[in-house]
Amino acid sequence: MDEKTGLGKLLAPIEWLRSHIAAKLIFFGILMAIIPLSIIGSFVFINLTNRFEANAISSGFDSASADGEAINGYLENLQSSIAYLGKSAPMQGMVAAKNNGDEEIYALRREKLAQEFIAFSQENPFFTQLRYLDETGQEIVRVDIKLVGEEPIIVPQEQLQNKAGRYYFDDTMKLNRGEMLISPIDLNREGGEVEILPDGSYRPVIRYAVPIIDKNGKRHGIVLGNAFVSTFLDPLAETERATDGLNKTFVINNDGFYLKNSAEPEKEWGGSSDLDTGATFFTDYPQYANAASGGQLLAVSENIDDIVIIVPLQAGREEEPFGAFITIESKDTALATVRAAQKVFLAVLAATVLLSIAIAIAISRPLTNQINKIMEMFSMVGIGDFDARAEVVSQDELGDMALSLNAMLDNTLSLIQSSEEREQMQDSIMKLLEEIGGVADRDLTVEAEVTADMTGAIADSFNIMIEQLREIITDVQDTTLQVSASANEVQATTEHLAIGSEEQADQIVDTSAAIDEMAVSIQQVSENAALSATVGEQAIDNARQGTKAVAATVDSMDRIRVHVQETAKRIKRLGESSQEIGEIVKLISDIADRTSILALNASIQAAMAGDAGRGFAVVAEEVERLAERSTGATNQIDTLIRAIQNETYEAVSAMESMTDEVVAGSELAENAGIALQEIETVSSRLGELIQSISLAANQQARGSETVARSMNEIAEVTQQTAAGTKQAAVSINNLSMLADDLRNSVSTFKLPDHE
Amino acid sequence: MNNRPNLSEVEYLNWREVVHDRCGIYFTPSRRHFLESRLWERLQHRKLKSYTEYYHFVLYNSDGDHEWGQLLDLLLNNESSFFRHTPSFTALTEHVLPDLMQKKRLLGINTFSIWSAGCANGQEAYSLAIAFLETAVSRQYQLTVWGTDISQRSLQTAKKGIYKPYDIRNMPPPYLQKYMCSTKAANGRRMVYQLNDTIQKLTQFSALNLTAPERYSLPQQDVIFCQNVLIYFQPADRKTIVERLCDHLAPNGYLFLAPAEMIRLKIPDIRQVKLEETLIYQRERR
Repeated sequence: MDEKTGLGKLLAPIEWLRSHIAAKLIFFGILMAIIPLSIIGSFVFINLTNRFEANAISSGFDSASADGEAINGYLENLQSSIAYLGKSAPMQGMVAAKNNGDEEIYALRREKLAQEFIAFSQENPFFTQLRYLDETGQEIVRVDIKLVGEEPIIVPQEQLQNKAGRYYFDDTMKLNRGEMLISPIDLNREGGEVEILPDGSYRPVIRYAVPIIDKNGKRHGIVLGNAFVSTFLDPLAETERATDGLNKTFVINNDGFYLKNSAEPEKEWGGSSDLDTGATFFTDYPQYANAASGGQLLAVSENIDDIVIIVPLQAGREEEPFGAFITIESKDTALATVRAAQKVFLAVLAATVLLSIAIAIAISRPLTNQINKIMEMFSMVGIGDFDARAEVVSQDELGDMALSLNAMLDNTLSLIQSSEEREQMQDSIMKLLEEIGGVADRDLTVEAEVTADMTGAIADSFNIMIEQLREIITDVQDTTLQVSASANEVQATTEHLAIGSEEQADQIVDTSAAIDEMAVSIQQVSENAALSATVGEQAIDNARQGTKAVAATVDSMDRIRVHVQETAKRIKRLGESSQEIGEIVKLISDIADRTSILALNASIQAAMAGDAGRGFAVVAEEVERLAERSTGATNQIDTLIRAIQNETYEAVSAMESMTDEVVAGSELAENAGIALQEIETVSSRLGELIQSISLAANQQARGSETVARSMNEIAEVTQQTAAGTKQAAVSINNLSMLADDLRNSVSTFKLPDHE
Repeated sequence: MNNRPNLSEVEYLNWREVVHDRCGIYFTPSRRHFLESRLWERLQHRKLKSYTEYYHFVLYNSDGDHEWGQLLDLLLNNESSFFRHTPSFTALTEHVLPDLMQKKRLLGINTFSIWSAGCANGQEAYSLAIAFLETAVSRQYQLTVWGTDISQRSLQTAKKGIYKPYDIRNMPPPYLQKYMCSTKAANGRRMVYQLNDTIQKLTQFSALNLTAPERYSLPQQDVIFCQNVLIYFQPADRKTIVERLCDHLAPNGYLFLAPAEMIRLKIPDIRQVKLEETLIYQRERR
């Protein structure tokens, strides 16, 4: 007994569990909460820490290498940008213009290159300066962008400088075609001093430059771009990793000098060419120096305290690394989340177990209560008490079940009373259904018999409904016939229209081509007319000069005439003088004759005087001889004078006839002058006519240009209209088909023959 | 409806230069609108945003050369018709062909070569072939009519030899009956006209750029027709082309231009033939 009681006591909870639904539910609930939580919990406890550590390294690695790649990508972009500009069409054009020595085109191309630089820097806002320097180092085109996002400015020509002697110019000029100069990243200097921006920061830059070499190997200077470095350095310091203070990010160059130091910005730019502070990564973090100078993409985590990730940086594709991007993250920070998660997990586990017990108890209480009430009701019905009903104590499905059981008991009582009435009703309904069954097969000729019983009213309203249906179907059939007919007609018309407008569109395209050609041709006529006008003006000029020349000729002929008349007068006077000389010679001749007679007389007298007169006779003889010689000389003079007089006379008459000819010549010249004046008048009249032709042709050219333009637009509109009409034809065709479909679907209804 | 943006000054100058460099056609400011509308049509087709973007596409894209061909087809004015300039054809049949045939008969030559330079859709080349066949004693000669144009699309149309009613508006009805047959178009709705084999086998069509620097790949010609082509070029280019065309004339050969297309031309051995309402030059025998 004691033993049994003891065993009974031991087995009591199991017995209770077996006989009570509530107990089963509670037990099951606890198991359901504890088992999965324990399995998951133990798995998580074992794996979580390791995984989180691995994750922290790999996600740090991913994001750091993404940042590194972004920097490399940015720089690679700069490299390819400058390579593109060096080969761009305006650059080539400039070289060609220079080789041809065409200064006007060279100036035009320079303008285009500047525009290309502007457009390029707007599209690719990485550059702070784009320049083209010629082979002497003189800046030819320079575009400045002061700050990221600002409008580019073309530097005016008078501000351009000569940069010969700068390392970037001299070094680039030594490069071969296809090679590129990439400078180290350093702080920009203005006038030898490190440039400090208004906000106190510096302006780090990197330069890319290519030589311009034409196809003959001749050098034409360089294209040079200074790029913003802050664009990729600054965002690194602002990332979440960097700003929580526990992680550090650095960008260093190959010498270990900081380009970026998120922990200690004052140590940046320590290189001797920059701020010369001497601070380097290698001295600050000697334990990572080897890894950082190796130039390999690395994740260092052997060290127990930190996760270190090093990404090498390149200034362009296939370039040697110039430095590295480094993040250092403490493991405590990285794994803090895991430790917090462990604590939260334990708390959740305990809370879940407690909650599941409470819920199981709360649910099982009303459940068993309602079942007990139903069980009581069934025991009462079991002993023949049909008035027994179950009390409803819960709102769930068991409550509903109790209500339904109660209703079932109520219905069972009334069913037993009305089964006879129901059979009668069923018969009339069957009859009605038979009568109207044809409607289901679309037969609208049927009619139901209207009886006195309950189905009579249904039959009556059914007949009214069929009647209305008949009317509707008839209407639909008539209408669809009409729609189909008119749609067919419209379709035919629209198709006709579509063909018409398509033809019209073609024709307009042809006409518009013809008008365009006419416009070009009129332009040609207008140019020719303008040319003729110039030629006409030349003719007027020539005629004018001819008139002037003729007038000058007439003038000089007049002068010749006056001179000749004057000369003739003088020669006449000479003739008259020679006549006077002749008379004087005659006198001399007379004197000679008398002297001869006197000499004869003297010789007679001398002979009469005898010997005394002998000497005198010699004298008389001499006188006689002198007189004879005088007579001979006067005779010669007389002959000469006659000859002179003859020639004078001939000269005078020749001069007179010459004067006549000069007069006639100047008359002719005057006539020529008049003719030339007429030519001038005619030419200027002709010029006016050509001018007006030119003006008219010009006007026609402008007019036909407008017409050509309008035709072009008309062609565009008509093409669209044609397309629209075609579309309309298609739509109407669809409409017609729809109408046909509709008619087909209602034609299956069978209608009475009359009407 | 028309939301086409304007061609800016820089874009206009760039495009004018490219078109001139590639095919010699010079778009004067008065045809700027024409250029703009054609560029817009093509750049929309390529789903590009601006004239500059399209410019870069044509110049630098790997598909740019193909696109240039498409654009060129739109930029060219293919206006033409059969027997277009009546006085020139009258001069050809009544004066030029009889003269050349007489000279050839004396020399015992029986080949004849005619060139339609800038043949557009081929109407001029076919008209020349018909005019030749209609000249009395032409049957004794073996004729080749060369048709050249820069547009591939035009050459394809020309080779087909099929024309719309509008295209044959100037064709004398007897010739129409004799050398063409009417048929339904491929889309089955409209009437079109097809040239006979007789004519088609006399013609040879090939692509040729009159402003390209290399020598024209054609033999010496007895007659060259180059009408309403030069007006699209700049005066200096016109002169160069005419000189090169004259260089392709056989001894006694004739060059037909459209009236007013050329003034004050001075080339050794080339003289102007004064026939009414025409502009014809002839090479004197060397």
